[in-house]
Amino acid sequence: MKIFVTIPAYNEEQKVGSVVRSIRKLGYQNVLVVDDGSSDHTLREAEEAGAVTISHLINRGKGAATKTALEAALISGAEVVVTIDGDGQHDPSDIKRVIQPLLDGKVDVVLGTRFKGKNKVPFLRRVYNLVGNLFTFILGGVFVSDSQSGFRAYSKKALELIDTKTDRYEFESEVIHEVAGNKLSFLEVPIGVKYTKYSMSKGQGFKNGIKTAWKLLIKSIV
Amino acid sequence: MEINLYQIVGIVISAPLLFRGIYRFVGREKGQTLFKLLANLVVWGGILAVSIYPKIVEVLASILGIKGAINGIIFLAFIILFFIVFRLLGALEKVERNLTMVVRKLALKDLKKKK
Repeated sequence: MKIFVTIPAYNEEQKVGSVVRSIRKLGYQNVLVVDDGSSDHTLREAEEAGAVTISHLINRGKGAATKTALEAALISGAEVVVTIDGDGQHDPSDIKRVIQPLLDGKVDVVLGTRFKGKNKVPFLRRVYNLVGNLFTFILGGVFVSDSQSGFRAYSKKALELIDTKTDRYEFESEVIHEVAGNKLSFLEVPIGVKYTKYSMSKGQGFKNGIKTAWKLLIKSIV
Repeated sequence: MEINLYQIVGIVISAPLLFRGIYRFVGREKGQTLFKLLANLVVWGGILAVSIYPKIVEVLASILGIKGAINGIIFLAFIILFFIVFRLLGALEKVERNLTMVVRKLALKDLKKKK
């Protein structure tokens, strides 16, 4: 099966190169980085590490970059597509575990979850995630343990059906709504996570969390 | 029965939007959830109910200490502002979505060139 590992990246010059190299070392040669209008050398670092790269002219958000990555992988003939964060918080060796249910033909989508393993997740991150999970449940009717995880894997069938509209962090919840709406099967698989000062400065902070919740609400009413 | 201008404006704006929300949910349009239906019922249904039975607000008005015709003016202004904000948010969402689509198309064009 043709497997693609995709990375949406915004100002990740410090980490994206090492993430790409780690993935390629594990034998996944189709690594695709979407540079989401970075103002640093993310693009160059990703290319030098051996990834296929494409760029957004301007920053459109993690959701938009992930969707571009998924479409690019489909165009390139992917049969299984993995999304992984570019800040180094995910462990590429978990890719095998995340894609296995897809390779076995058991499910259409695999959601990596930080909360079913033995990870030491900072208290605030747990709170943000719980709020995110509740919002995802209220708006979409599906409860998952990690609605904000960026480490996921999709079958070709799932990618052809999932049609997201949101651009930023609310994308992760919207994918779950789409999975449920299209009656796709999914599985949550425990993944490892490394919280460093660098990765903590990225992703869902309090301000972003409020923005995400607001956007999900507005999207429901407008 | 006396009908005020704000009641007509309230009904004209809220009834079609409420109908649209229910129609989309019943027709099982993509992306329609129970929450969206409830939000529609609360927001637009509330405005419609108050427009048809203005006495509903009397309790609220007495709590707030607002009396008389000022009720109607405040309610009318509220409906109009609410409607404008909704339309603006909708338009903004659409512009953002289109912008992302253009950016994505350019990025994917670049990928095809690289192949």
